[in-house]
Amino acid sequence: MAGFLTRRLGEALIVCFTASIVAFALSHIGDNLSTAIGGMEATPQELARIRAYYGFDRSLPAQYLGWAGHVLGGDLGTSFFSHESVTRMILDRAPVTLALALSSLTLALLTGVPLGIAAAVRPGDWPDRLCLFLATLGQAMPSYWTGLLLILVFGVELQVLPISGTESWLSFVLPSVALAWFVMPVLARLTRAGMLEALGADYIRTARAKGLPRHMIIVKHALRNAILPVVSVAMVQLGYLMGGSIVVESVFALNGVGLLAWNAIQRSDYPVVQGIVIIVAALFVLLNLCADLINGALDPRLRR
Amino acid sequence: MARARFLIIAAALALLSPSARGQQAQNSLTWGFTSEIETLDPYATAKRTAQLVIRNVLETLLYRDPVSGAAKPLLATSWRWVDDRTLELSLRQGVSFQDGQAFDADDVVFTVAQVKRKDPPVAFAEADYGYIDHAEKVDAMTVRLVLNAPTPSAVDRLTQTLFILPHGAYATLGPQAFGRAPVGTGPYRVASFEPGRKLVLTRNAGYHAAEWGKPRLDTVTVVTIPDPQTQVAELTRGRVDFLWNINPDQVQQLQGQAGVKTATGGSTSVDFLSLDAAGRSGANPMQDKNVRLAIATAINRQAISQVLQGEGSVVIDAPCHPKQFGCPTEVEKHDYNIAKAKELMKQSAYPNGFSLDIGAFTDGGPVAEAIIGDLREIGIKGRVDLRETSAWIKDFFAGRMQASIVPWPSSGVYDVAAMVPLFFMGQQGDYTRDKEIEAWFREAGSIVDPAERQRLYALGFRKIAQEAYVVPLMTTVTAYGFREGLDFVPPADGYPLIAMTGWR
Repeated sequence: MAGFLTRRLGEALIVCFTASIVAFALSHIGDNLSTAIGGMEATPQELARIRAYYGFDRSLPAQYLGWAGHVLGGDLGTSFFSHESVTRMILDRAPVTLALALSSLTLALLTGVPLGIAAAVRPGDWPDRLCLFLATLGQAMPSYWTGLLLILVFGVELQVLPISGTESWLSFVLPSVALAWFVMPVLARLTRAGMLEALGADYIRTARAKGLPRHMIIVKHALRNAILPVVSVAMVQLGYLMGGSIVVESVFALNGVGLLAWNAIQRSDYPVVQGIVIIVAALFVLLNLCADLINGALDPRLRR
Repeated sequence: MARARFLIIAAALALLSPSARGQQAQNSLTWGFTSEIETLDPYATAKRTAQLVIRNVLETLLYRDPVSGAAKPLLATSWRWVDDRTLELSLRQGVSFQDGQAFDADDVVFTVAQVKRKDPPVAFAEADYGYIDHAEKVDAMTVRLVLNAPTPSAVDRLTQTLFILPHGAYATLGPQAFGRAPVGTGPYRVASFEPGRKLVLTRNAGYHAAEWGKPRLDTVTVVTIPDPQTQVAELTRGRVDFLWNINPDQVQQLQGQAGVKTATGGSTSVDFLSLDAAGRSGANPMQDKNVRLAIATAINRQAISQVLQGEGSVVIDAPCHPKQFGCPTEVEKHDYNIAKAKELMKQSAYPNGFSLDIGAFTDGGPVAEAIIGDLREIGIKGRVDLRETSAWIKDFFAGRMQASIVPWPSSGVYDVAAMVPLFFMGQQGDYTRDKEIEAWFREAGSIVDPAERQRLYALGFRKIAQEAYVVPLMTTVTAYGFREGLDFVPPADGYPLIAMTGWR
């Protein structure tokens, strides 16, 4: 287990290092930083002053090493515009994104897994068709569109739920549904595929022959094996939800990390963009590591 | 039974949402803002939109009358020109900052020193404050602004910029802390501020007797709602009371909605198509006068103005706003005429047409698309070169674009002096490099005689039109959406002071 953990940690560090280089290079390669800060009316002299003040006149490797050194020390830099610490900006907004991601994933799991099981238990029957229909619909509709439809129905017509801001837990209902609707189909399809394979296995036939109750066979014997890929994918989806809920956060005006990233990209506030990229990359790596460890715990063969 | 349960839950949830009627009863207003306000320090933010909120907390020396557009006293009660380069202002007595510190000449001198500081860089330093050299205290309530050169537009500029800082509090707090909890003399004070989420302003009980009156609302809450559709939905259901600078699609959606009104007002912003007549991007067809004239004649500006800007936008013949001092109306017009444009192309060095990239950013994209559609008629194959804003700034001002849509707000200044230096006086945005025009404009910017300035600006703009150095397109409008019952009059310059607004 120790070797497995060390190997995975080593890989994780390489991924983080690569992500840091990519994040830095992409934001610096265009050399638009001084114009982003100075604005349209900035004279060449002003731009030169800005370049000197922020150190953009140094070589790219020197700038990268300076930035990476600070990141290793836990300092992600300062926003060009608000002059606030990027770490603080991300930490301020992380609870919103975390709440949204967890509620969406929970909702997706609570609907996707039972739907997948129902589809696998009666393949070709109406639960299976329903699962396929919902999966296709969910994946075909972008979260942005789902969000706008939810706003129209529950916000404008029925006026029963908030559609912007984070005033109460109710504000998270519609965005969570919009995101879960997009994530659920993958989980339902995976559960269905895994369950179909498991239900056809010999040990299930044995369990049936032993006269075990049907729900015991499905939940305790088949699902335990079928759930392995769902765990891995759910973790990846959580990473996606943590870093990729930009559009939904924008539609529902949730002041999370996604919206912060969106604003920062629009304004070329690169310390913020780089900080978010590196944090999300690290989070992805961490979640994948968790998935590996959980799968390793569930299936000892994977530890080898 | 199930339906009844749903309705009960729905009713209970609906009770949790504050209604517009409730807002009116509480004399409060919620303002839906598209972009995030990161800081309330006017010298740290490079966003004009943030300054729109800041001006309710920090004040300028003068303000612009929203109807007449004239400069009126605010923190300064009167002003006079001592000479061409020295403006003396008498300051208002009995004004205090929100922390109790009395306002006087030291605050003005301190503020000017701040805008001239080098570190950290001040936003819009050159455009907004480049004309000021320094400030001198004459006595406790009199101050002189010494300018770098004669600047007749200085009085108008002071209605838009130079937000007066409290010299004590700003020096103690520093830009970052001040940006979170600014202390001003304005009609509102900051009650709470969570960047990107919510800003709550409450009425400043000790506000001085400004000429425009007293703030009417007790509380103003500014919430960030980036998505235009969500903004419309929130205004329709009454959770937001006011939206500024909405797009024509939003106006259409809001028209006819119960309880909602829309209004369109002016601005100082214009759109024009820049052409590289000087060949800064290398030898190119824009250097051919016939090509430039053909382009100017082939663009259906009236249709573009109506469709993309809507009511209130007018087609312009000179690249400046008709409201601005020095912007002439009598220049050569290039009316839409495809037959004439085709004829001009035949006479040019490019009778078979050519390919052309038209640069644009944000809202300029649809304008460029429309122009490309028109240019196809005369054999020019256009392509929109849509950029992220800072990438556009970098390449456009480095002289690398053959053609580009330029939207220009002139910093809200009612004088062409706010835009001609950048585009026609040899600076980074000048794609004409015409020495004659540069000389006329330079002289107009260095004297104070209004008639002579008008004459010189007219000479320059007439030559720009004759040569079709740029294609002036249209004025842009500022549209608003707000709840019925709000007593709101759109200001002429597009920058409302929300403190003047209240419920009927």
